[in-house]
Amino acid sequence: MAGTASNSNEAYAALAEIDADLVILDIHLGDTLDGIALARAMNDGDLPGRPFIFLTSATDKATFQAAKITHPHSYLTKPFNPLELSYSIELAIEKTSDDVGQLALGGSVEYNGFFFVKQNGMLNKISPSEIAYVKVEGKYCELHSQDSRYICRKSLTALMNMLPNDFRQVHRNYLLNANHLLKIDVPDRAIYLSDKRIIPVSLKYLDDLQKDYPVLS
Amino acid sequence: MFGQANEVNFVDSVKNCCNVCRSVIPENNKGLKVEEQYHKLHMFIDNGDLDRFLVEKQRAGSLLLFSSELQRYYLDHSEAHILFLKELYIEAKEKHERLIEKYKNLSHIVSYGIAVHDLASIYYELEEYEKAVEHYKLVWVNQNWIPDINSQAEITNNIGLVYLTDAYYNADSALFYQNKSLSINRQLNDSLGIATGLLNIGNAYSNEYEDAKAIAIWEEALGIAEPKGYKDILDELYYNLAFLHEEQGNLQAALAYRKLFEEVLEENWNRDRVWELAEKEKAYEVELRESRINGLEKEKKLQQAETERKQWQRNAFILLCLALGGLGLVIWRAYRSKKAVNKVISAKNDELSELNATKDQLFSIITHDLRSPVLSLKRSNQKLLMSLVERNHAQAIDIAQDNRSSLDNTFQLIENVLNWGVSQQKGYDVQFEKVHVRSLVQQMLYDYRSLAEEKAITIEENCNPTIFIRADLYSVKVVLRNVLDNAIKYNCKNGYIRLSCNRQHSEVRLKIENSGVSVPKEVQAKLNAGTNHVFKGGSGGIGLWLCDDMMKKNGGRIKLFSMDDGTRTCLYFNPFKDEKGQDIYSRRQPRRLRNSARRPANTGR
Repeated sequence: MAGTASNSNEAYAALAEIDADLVILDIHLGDTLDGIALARAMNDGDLPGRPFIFLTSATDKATFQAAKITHPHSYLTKPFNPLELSYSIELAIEKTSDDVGQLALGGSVEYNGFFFVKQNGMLNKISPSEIAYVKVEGKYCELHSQDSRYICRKSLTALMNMLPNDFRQVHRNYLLNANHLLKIDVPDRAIYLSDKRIIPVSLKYLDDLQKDYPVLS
Repeated sequence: MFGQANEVNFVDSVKNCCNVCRSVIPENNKGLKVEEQYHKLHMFIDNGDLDRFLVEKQRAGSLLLFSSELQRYYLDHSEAHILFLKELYIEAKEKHERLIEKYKNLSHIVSYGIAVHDLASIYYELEEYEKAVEHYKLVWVNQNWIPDINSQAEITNNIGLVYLTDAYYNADSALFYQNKSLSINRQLNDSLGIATGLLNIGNAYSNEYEDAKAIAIWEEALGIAEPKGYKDILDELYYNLAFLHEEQGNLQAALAYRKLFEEVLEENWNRDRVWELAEKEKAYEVELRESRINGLEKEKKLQQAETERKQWQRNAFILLCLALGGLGLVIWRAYRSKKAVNKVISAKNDELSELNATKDQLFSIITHDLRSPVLSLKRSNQKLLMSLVERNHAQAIDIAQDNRSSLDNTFQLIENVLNWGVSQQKGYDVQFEKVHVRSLVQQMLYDYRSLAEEKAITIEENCNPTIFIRADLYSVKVVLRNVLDNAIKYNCKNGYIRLSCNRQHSEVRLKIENSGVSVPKEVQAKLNAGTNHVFKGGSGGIGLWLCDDMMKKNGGRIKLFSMDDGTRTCLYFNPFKDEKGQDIYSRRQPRRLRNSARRPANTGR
């Protein structure tokens, strides 16, 4: 959660300032500028355009119709079902990334420069800096963090373009986050990561790597 | 007709020219035909059937071209002569002039002379005296033609008369020809001719004022005419003599002649009266015939008019029939289209009345179903109040929990009614999207876990996590809520609910099994047959019906099966397909991931 706002003015100011991934809006926020107006402002581009979900106790038809034309990802009513809410959030993220169903299948969704993944029924947001290396496994890639790995149904090239410059290719099947590099074992053509894990490096990339990171055992 | 001597000769000449009469056999058939034609024609003349001759000659036409010139001449001459005899002078003149011009090379024969003579007579009758005299003289002079003596008398007489007319008056010539005529008549001993001649000579003298000579001549004529009783001459003679004697002062003689004249005149007049009467009778007869002919013509016209009228009537009748037929067709078409429209309208009416009946039924069920829980809530609220006053917390909690479950049911009913209202609205549009079945099922179960726990119902969810369906999320939620609600409501204590989702053929089947009361057979049959739009069994019925409706809107269906100890509900959906038409759930399932990383395979150490 990036923040909360108790009225629309606060929300307006907060939304303009923080880079929220998703906004959950109540409709009756207490004063004149209600949730629907906020949604409209996001649609019109006054505020950072982000996916939003209405979560409200308003069940009357008029409100629903007014909310509907702002194209929310979901319209949930209170009392809310936490599973339904989280599903709505996941769906909103998946839809924005045009990758519906990925999270349910255990994969990760790249959105807004981060990776979103569902673990133990929780939606985790993973920063690329947490990822030590990427490994190609068949038709998809594995993102390896210090203690987990996540499936990403993207090609290595696509990931390369998306990830920060810290990532560089060291092998046909490997991308390395240079910040996690500990040392390069040239004879063995292996890279030791800061958490002691080892990944292979091919000759093709070894020289370049040595120039930039002259770290030898 | 052809009574005079030269005419008899003419008839003989005509006959002599006929090869049939002469028994001369022609060389060929055609010749025979031509000869027969000629014979046929001249035989009409022989038999005196002159009109027939004229007609047949016209009809013979071109066949006569093959006859000999003489034959053709005789036929033409006969035709012209008949016209002359019939006193059709204008036509006769024309024919004769052409005849004379055409057959100039036959001018030596006697018949030609007769023709010229006839033409002269025609001119005389038409008062073309100059031409008459010319032609008479031609006949007179030409020795070839000198026919009989009668003709000579006539010719001289007529020429003489011409010279007595005002236009060609010549007393000497007149006297010359009259005397000649007279001498011929004397020769013939024709007393009428002599008398006429004497009368004419007397006229000539009288014109020359030689009254004595005239009187002598006329008295001589009188001597001949009186005994014979030639009244036509006598009246003139008496009148002339009376006139001359008066001139000379012989009044007594004049008076005597005058008296005689009057007598003759009266006789003549009487005779003429008879003639006149006869003429009138004839004219009357003719008129009668004409009127009869007119009558016939009128009748004919009437008949024609009648025929026209009948034709018109028939045409009008046909037109009328066609118009009526067309009208009938139009009416038939209009009737047909009206019938079709009526059919549609009645179908709509049926539908509407069915809907109305449904609405009424629904309305009565809702009011009934709402009444009892609200009533019981009212009572239990009273109880709750009492227990709170008595500070009996345990009882208060019990009551509140009872109330909650009662409220839950009522809420469900209201929800269904609301949803039904929404689904019945026009333009309720389903928005199909990719729905992850397992997530959806888990969300739905979340709301019912506490309810299930109350009845100690175990819920087993065993859905294939890779299955996606193509459905309208909202309506599927409504369906699931209803099914789960029923599964708990009709369950027994310590019962179970088992959910599983699998692919079945080309569909996705979400199966919900619950223990407890089996669904009634009739509800099952009705729902499965798709004709369950009757709310049997109270508010539960509404729920099922709503489910059926919603499933249909999703392109799926709902089936109920009663088991020995419970109910099985199957929901069938269309699987979601990707752009390539592949079922999403058929994708390879990702391998189960372990938390520990493997060593890279190719780290050779």
